[in-house]
Amino acid sequence: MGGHAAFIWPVYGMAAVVLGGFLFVSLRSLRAREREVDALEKTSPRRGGGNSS
Amino acid sequence: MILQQYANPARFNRLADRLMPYLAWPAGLLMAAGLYFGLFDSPPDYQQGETVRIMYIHVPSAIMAEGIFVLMAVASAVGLIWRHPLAHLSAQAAAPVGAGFTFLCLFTGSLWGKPMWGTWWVWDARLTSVLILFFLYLGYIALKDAFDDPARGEKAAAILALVGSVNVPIIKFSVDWWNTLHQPPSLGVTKVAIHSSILLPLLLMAAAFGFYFGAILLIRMKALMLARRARGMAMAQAAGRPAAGQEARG
Repeated sequence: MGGHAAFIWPVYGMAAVVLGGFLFVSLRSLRAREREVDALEKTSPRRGGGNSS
Repeated sequence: MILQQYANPARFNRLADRLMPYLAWPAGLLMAAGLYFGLFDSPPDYQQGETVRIMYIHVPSAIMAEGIFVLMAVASAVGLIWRHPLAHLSAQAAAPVGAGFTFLCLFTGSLWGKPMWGTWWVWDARLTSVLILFFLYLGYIALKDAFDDPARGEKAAAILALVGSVNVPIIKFSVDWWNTLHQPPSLGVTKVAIHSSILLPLLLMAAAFGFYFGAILLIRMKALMLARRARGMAMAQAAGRPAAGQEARG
């Protein structure tokens, strides 16, 4: 890297951390919200109170 | 209005799921190609040497940092004027990612500045206006959560996004309006002052960042919609009634 490796590699490393970090955090948050809604659906009374008519 | 039909969470989820492969796969493939050409198959610049490889992260980050704020301002305007339910949500989902890209732009610029200018930082117009953009992102994120009533928070944050968008043209034209250490733009609508061997990885990385943002935005919007729904269901349960929109899940 022409003596500039100490400047170039941290750039790519930080890009990997930021982009990978957002992907990881966003997916984890989505899964957590899905689990939360599933749990609430199981304990919540259905609309119409079971009346099928 | 065609956008109104996607205000329905189930419809939006179906659309997001359909779009996801068309965003995620190009993001991954373009990033792999951009990294290959950027790190291994492009020559050093005749003036900047190997440090030109910093540009393949720095410039796409800068484009995303400004572009996402413009998107947030447009979404905020749509939310304030037409009250489209997804407008504020999309701005809120985009804000932390925009802040991340702005941080990346500042960090990579600093690492580029040291070998090229001999300093990590200088208070010139371009660098300072990008730092202000970073603070605007942080302000937006803080403001939307600063009120007990979420609707008031999103309205206040939307106004900040609209007012703050005036900073974007200032960033763009700062190198023309003031004497700055930062170089003028090498890419424009009518001129390209970059050799094709260096332009190719730059465009690949910029496109990869764009597709990546699209994919992340959809994931974050889905998570925010589910969070709202969970909050509504929990409140409904606490009130002892069935949750509204319980059947809307896609």
